Amino acid sequence: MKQDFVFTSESVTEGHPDKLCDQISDAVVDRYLAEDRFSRVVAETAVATGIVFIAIRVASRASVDVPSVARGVISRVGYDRDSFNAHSCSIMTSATELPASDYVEVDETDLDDAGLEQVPAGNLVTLFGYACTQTPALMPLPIWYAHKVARRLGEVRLTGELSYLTPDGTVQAGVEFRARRPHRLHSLSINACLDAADSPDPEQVTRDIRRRVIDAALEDEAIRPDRDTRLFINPKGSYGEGGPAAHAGLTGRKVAADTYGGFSRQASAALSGKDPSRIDRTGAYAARHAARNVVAAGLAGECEVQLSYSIGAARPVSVQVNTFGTGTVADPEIGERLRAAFDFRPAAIIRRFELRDQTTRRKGAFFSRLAAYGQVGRQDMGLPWELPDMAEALKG
Amino acid sequence: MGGRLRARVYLLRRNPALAAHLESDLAARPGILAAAANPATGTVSLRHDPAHDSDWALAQVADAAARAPRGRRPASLNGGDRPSRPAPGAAPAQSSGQSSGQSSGQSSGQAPAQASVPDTPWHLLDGAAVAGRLDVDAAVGLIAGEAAARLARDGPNALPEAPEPSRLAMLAEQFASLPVVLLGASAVVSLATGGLVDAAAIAAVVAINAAIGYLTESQAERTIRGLTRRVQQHALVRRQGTEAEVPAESVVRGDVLSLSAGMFVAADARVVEARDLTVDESMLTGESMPVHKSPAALGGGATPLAERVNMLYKGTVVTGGAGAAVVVATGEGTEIGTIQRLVSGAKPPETPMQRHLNALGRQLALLSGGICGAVFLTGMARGYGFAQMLKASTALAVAAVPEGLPTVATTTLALGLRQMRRRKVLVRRLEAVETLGSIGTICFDKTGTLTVNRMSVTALDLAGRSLDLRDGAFTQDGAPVAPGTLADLAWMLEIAALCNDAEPDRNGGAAAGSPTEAALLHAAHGAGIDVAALRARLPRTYTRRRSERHHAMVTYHATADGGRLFAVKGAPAEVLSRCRWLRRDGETVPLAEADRVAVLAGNEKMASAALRVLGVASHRQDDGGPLPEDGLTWLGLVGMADPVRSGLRDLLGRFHGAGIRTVMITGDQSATAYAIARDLDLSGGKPVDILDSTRLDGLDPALLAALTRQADVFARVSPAHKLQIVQGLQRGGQLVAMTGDGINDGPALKAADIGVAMGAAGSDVAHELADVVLEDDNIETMAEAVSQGRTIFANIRKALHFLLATNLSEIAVVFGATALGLGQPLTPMQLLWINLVSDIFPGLALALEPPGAHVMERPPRDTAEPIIRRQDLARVGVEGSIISAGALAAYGAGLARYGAGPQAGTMAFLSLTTAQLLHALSCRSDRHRIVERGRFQRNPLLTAALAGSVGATALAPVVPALRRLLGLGPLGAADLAVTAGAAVLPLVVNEAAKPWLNRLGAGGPGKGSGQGVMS
Repeated sequence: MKQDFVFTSESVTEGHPDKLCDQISDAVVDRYLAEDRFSRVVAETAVATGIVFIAIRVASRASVDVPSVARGVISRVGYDRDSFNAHSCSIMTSATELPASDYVEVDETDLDDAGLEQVPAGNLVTLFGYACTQTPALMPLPIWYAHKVARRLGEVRLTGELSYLTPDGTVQAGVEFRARRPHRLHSLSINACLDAADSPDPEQVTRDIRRRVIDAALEDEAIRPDRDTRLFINPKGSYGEGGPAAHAGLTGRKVAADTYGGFSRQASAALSGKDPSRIDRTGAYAARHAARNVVAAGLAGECEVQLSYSIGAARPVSVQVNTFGTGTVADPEIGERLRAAFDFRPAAIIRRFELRDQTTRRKGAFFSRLAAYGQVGRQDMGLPWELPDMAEALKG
Repeated sequence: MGGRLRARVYLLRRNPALAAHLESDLAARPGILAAAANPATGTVSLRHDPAHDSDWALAQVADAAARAPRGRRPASLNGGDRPSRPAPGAAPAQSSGQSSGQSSGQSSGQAPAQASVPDTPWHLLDGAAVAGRLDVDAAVGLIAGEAAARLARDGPNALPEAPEPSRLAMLAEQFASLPVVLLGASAVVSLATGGLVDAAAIAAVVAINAAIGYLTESQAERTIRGLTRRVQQHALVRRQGTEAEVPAESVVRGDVLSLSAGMFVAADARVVEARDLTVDESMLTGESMPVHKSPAALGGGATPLAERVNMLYKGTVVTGGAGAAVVVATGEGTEIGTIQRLVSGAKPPETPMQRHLNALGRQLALLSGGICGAVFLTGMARGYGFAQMLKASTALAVAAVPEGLPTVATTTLALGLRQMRRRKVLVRRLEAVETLGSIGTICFDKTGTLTVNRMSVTALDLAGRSLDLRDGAFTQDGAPVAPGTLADLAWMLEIAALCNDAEPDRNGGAAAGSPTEAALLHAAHGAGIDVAALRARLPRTYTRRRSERHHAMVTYHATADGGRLFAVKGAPAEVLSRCRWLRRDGETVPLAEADRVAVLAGNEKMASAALRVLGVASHRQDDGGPLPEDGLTWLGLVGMADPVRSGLRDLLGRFHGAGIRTVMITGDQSATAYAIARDLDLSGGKPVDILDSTRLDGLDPALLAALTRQADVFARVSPAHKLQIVQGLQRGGQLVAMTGDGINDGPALKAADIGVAMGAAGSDVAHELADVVLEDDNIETMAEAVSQGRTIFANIRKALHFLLATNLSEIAVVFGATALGLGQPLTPMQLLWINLVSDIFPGLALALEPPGAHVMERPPRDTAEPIIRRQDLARVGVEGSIISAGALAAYGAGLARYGAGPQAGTMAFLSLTTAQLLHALSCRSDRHRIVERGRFQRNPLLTAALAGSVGATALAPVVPALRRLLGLGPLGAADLAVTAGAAVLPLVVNEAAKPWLNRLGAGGPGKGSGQGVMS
């Protein structure tokens, strides 16, 4: 990899149609798990021109009124316009019951080692986890900044500071790297959808966003916009109200925003809308957990962990580590230590992170909160895969 | 493709000015694509947007005619009571110049008897003035004797029915057809050439044909007229201070109508009281959204019909609310009476089948005529005698021209209708029979159609405490609970009983009221609550009923200490959103977030058990202020079960097997709907697609069409949306059947290709608007109806197939023999015999073939498919040719043995007749061979007809008189054997070749076969 480069990552607000779909899908998952922790559910959502399509495949004792869950999310996110609002939008639900054999009422906490071995991975998939020392959260800087600014963009609308904003917004942060370390903020682009009737002229909007969003979000950071940082605020003119009335959304289209902003390799599978039995979701958390602890243990300045699973086997068929030359210990050695210290089996991951109970513990909203502003690397939820609890074990 | 209408307008003839006006007025109206008025014929033709139907278009024409500038038109065009409209700007000079002439013309005795006060602008007067003019006190109504006197004076409140066609005319019609004329000519020719017997025989044939035709047509006519006999309507009138139900015909001017949802408006009336009164006036104005009515007088100026919000019109339907109105016009003096008068003479449109058959009949007549002419010329060319050829070709023309194709269809339709009537399916429009076979989607209401509509409370949820209720006993987790020990339970049920329109009866049930509310009363009674006393203690002061915007009902009650009690019940999410407090274990506590989540979870649990769930809340305050936005106290959830009708799963499976999609429409939430849909296997094994929408009208039409095509269930839908659902499905190319009760879904019932109403449970409105009424309220009958519809269509095809094939064989035999110079195989008398004996009765018997086993196992017929397709004609051609080949072969054998003479002719005659009769057996199915016994039900009629015909034909050579008449010669045993062979062989060949014949012209194996509804 080149040592000097500009890298861009994108994040979006909760109201962006793609993220909205992620949140609706995960809200459905939450609701099923809250009522029946052994639920198997896959929920895919699409939204376009004011119509929401939700396809679910489910095996569960619970019964959930999916449209009302969706309306709840839409209302929480703040869509209340005539063009699209929680009350009047049309929701088409397509529900299939998974075969009864898919529904297994086995509590992972009760399983012994042999039992854990009996729960195989259901997908043939390779997952990546990443950690680096660019930020205190051990996340790459571009995505970290993009999330921060996007969060702030969502906040100023809710607090009323910039009440003319609508829930839909996109942030792209470009960071200039020298010798693979973040050097400065090269460019920042924000697309903030506005209420055409209420909003002031574009110059005022630019000033408002510059001051209240960008500066406010990044004021505590070491790398802030400097004189040469190119700021693009609604560069192609305002997109109007945005939201589902303007552009369509789909679950799983913002996987990069869910993880590392593209800085690391990434499996293409969506994370949202899947219950904990899906290794192509939980494996990403486990991989992050591993990478994070590698860096926390000081074994490397930058670490990418690759987990490959095969159908029918519980243990991953391959655990690879790449430290991009920053490792104090050889990469294969780190891999060995990971294999020894971490249990990457699907049932073990569920048990370790208590994925079946997080929803109930957090008042019915766990996965749906994960569905916006990153599923890994966030520091506001006390996530079990963000804890450096295995660092000591790795130091060996 | 747009809708088309042709209407005859009174006084348009020889009135070019009116024609010009009508054209420009109509063309300018939205929804009308093109209009042309012809003063020569007095008719208006127009093309309109297919979204509107022909009744709307008729109303437009009538309205345009009424707005025409006054010329030399007599007053009756204007109607009696309608206020004067100022003439359009173009003709003020005209009107002023003629004003004296006009007004005298108006008040001359031309006005119809019922409307004796000319031009009163009722909508401009206020209610009291109206009542005064009509000499009635609106609060009391007409007094004793007054109603009868007015009835005698003004005549009944009835619109003239179209007159029955006279019997004589029908009989005369039988003689007016081309074949009869030809036969007559043939008889004349016979007489002229000295064949007296022949002429007499021809006359006899004509008479018999006419008799049979007359009988069948008059029966059919009677049956069809019986279809649309107006439902006996009733009206509620206020007389002598009390309400009485009277037949609609006895309503008179000055009567005070008492109106509520689901009723027809019996006569034109001026609204004097209105409580949320909404009316569907689509049959007059074309406006499908209900109109709010109010009693206030309107300002001056020209107010079009659709904007007269203080008037009601005869024939419109009350969709909501209640009110009272004073009748200002009855019978022909009403708006609808005027329209009927203006456009009388517009014939009811032919069904597509009739239209097609008429066209086909004309084509075939021309073709046959051409061939007969060719036969004549060929014969002449061959040197046969002129008179002989003339007789021969006219006889051939008679036998060969397929007369009365539409008659066969109509007769079969009528017979089929009687059949359906016997099975409790009442069909009200002839077209519906045709359409039934092509239905692609059936939309069922959930309540009352899929369910029994007998609600009972089975579960309650009080702040997390789940109770079950069965047979009046409350239990919690199996342990009995005495209602007295749970104060909250009693309180919640009391609120539910207060916020409730049902009337309690002595036994704790409800004497009147909706099933939901009756169930609540029943539950309250079970908890020991005396509802009547409760309501007396807390009198109701205000009611806001559940509406589309507010899914909850709110009532205000006055408490003994001068305070106010609010009682709320409705959709759980909505009621919960207005609560800030919660009642738990006898205490009122703030409603926490966790409590909200628990309530919603309880709601979902009940809904997933297919219960209808209501939330109940209340609020008490010391003063008389209004209901606070969110100050209610949540009391609990009530879950009610409406059992699903038994046997539905299998029934829906039958529909699915017939290629018909079943769709459920309900106001319930998605979870309830899903539970029911899953139990009934509504989606036929596929994933259940539920569309949950409160704003279908805001969707792009193409999108709506796609969504409706996809959805199996429409949840949270109000009856007003059903029209959009129907239109969405139709736009997607489906033929839609929809059930309805007529109260709010009148437009939907009308717009659906088949509107279905329940017999006993449906309202008058539903009966009037529906195309099919299921008299025993059993939707199993619906499957019967579809099966019968398909069978009738298939049978008409079979009968036509038979007739066409036999006619063709006759032509081919004569033409072939003439062309080959073999002489005349068949005498005219023999041709007539064939016509009489071997065509009519087997044809009728085929038309009554019972349904084949697989009529409900094929996908619906494509509506665009005509009844006789090209492949059918091709098949007819092949089969007919095979039959005629057999007869010609027999003829040839006879010629070889006996030379030209009666014997050869006899062989041809016998073999042709028998082959045709045997062909009837082949026509029983276009797919299955006779030998496949299992596929056929017994058709005793056909057996009898064939036996009779074969017997008669066998008798002919034996009975001397017949032998002479038909000119038959003696035959030996060998000849008979050849004849028999020539008769049977075509049947064998046709049967053997059936699979290939099936593929004729259909473009390959299997391609056309899936579409056919011939079983």
